[in-house]
Amino acid sequence: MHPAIHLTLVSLIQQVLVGLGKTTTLFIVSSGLTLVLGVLRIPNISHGALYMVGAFLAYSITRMLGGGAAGFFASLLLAPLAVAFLSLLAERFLLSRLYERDHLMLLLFTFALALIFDDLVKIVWGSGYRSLPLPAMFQGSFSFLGLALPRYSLFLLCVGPLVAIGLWFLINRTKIGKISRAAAVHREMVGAVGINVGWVFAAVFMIGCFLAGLGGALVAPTQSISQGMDASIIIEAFLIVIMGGLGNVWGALLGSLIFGLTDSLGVLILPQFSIVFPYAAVIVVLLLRPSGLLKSAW
Amino acid sequence: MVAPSLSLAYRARSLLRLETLAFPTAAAVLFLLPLVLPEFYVYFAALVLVTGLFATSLNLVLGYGGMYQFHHAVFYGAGAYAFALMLAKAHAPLWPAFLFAPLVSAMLGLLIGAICVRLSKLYFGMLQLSLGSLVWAVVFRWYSFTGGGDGLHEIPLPDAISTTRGAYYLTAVVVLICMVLLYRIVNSPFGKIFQAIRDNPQRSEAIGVDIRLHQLKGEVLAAFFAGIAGALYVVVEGSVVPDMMFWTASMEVMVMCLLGGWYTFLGPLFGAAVILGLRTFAGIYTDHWPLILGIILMAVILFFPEGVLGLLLRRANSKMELSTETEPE
Amino acid sequence: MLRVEGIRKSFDRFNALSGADLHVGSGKIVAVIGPNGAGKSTMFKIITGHLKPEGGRVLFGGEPISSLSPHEICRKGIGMAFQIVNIFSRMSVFENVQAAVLSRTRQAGNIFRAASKMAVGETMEILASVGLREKAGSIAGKLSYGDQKVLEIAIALSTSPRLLILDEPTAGMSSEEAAVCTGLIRRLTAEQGLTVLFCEHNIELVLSLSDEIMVLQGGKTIIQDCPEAVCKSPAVRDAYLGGAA
Repeated sequence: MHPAIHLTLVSLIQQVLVGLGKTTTLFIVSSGLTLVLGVLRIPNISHGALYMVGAFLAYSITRMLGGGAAGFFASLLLAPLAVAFLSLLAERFLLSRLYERDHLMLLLFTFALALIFDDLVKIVWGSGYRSLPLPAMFQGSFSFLGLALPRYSLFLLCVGPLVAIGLWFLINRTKIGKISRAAAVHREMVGAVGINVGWVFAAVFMIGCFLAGLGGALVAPTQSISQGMDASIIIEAFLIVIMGGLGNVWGALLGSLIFGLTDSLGVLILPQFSIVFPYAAVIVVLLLRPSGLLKSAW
Repeated sequence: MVAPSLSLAYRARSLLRLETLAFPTAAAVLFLLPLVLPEFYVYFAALVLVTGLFATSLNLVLGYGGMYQFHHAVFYGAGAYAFALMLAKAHAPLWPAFLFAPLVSAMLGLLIGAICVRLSKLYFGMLQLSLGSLVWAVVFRWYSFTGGGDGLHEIPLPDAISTTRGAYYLTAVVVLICMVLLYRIVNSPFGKIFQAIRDNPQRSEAIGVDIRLHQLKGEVLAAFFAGIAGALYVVVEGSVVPDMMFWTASMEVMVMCLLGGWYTFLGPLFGAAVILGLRTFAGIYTDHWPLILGIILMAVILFFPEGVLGLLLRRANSKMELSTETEPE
Repeated sequence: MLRVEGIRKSFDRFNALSGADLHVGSGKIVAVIGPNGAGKSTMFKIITGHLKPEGGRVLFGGEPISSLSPHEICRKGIGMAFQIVNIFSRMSVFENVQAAVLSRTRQAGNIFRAASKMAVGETMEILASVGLREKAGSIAGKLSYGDQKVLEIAIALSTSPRLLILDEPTAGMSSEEAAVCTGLIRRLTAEQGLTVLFCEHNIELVLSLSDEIMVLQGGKTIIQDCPEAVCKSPAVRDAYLGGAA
């Protein structure tokens, strides 16, 4: 094979893999966002801040537990749980009072939450950068047919489907999933048949924010953990959610795939402006299908 | 008892008198301010005027039009960059550059608006947030042209407006003119129909209003005035940074509208003054301004959703209704 | 003037309309009656463009209009007063009517003039004709229910429709309010020679006001004829009046 062609083929496959790894975190974060949007109708702009909190917590937890693989795996569970707990407090004491307000107020209120979470991060962790090394087992790459496949990307590729299956089970096979699907369409009805909607909403909000924290914990070892890492992910997650159809978890999966792949493949074409490709994809999708790829929840 | 139509006419006339007085009073105050204020406050007043114009332009679509204008800062930033680039890279004279800025913003408003107005409320807002972020990303990455994350500094301004006071006077004159224009737009048939759409879109359609076209026009107008504010920002600050069109900037200007009251004309200007004042004041003592802003925002949403001016106006209105009802014949 | 031919519409497998026909001649007052759920409101919403039919066609002045959007249909000359009050509730009564007048006179895009001085005479005239002149300065949402329904009609009138559609004009009114409203409709139609299409549960009002009655049942047109003929029709007795006859 001609070396140049070989090189591009190899880099193409590797970029696809990188893109799929990015897709995983995007999917995890945006599925949480779309869940909250679909059931509670809250455009939760503090979702990104919770993602950042998740990353910082994962850093601290891993360090506290010795920095090894055990600490890493523990942080994947504990950091999102802590984020979920934080979100439960915010939902019960603040957001639950505002469900009847219009989206604009909810957006601004969650912006206030984001500001407060951001500042809490600054108070607890300071304003410097943190970085967390990958556990030894995920460092380096597998060689396969002359390709170097990063181990961590492969790990992410396993986590993504697990989360998707978990969400499918949650939505289709559990009581809370059934109630929340009904609540997304007919809010008043669910309350009328005597179900305590308040706690269903709280649970869905917690699950959604758990996913934000999990996303943060998963990226913690792959990038510098810093103030401001929330600002771009939230816009990306919003893009994916509108591209997929508001409130549709599978739409979020599809949107994440489109976003992750156009982003990583765009690097090969126009490195400086690779960021333009996923946005262009969103514009094309929305020009063709103004309400998103899949059916919106409402 | 006074007949209702009479009291209506009476109220309209007294309002009219108030309006005719407001303009010369405001002009006089704005003219005299720099004569008594120290330099820093003159700069601060100019910044309040610029931000106030920016917030008022947002309120045209957000408050009066009921549109979910989630990323208005893009038009502000576009105006600022257009103006700064014309001066710094094209070495254009001041006035052409100053006219160019709002036109660029208005074109961007037309483009983004044309894509967004096909969608309903929340979709509109979220798509706008996304498209605006795309514009921001391009500005942020295009280092050779826009200065990337550093922005553009030391923009060559003519001597007359390169001093704090000079910048202030230009700003004051332009902002005053723009506020009068915006006030007239709000009270024109266009503005009334805009409010009708906010109040009841279905009814508006059924009286023959083309909602999308109307919203698109509103979007272009709002972007135009935001572009003027953006150019003025460059006059006041002498620089432009991509942060001014980041999505958080859009949230902040919405907070100003909310705080001041988005069903009032002067509310956003008032909100801008309060937020900028608090930020400057808080900045002296602490670097936890975001925390403070977050708490203020929560309190406003929970307790004063109409905003400060909105609240005052409602109180005054109910008093006025009471007094006209009890007026002897 | 208006011709509806075999329109069909379903919601989630429920057939709201399955072949309804209607003809409204110029200058005529036509009533649509039928039991609840017969598809009356759905048919009106299709005529005004708020819903799209799945089959059949709607012709207005010989021109198909079912693909047009509501504002285009309004500009063709169909004014609508909704069943559920649909006014600009935060604006004054005056502004409610003025907005419609400004829209009709194609002034909606004007940003240069002060709205408060425009179309004042015409707006006041319309308000006077429906008896709301005294309340011009009130906030529309604070009016009594009966006044809101009247304002609803006034807004529809302000678009100067060639065809006025009233969806249950007296629904939910007290008997006094209904009497006032009935008188108003009667006077307006007599004075202005309007073409009116309406639906109503109040049979007395229907019989006294309409030139023709169309009976809709189960999404189908049973008959359209003059009131006497409809009353005598055995099909109507069977289907609509049922055991009551």
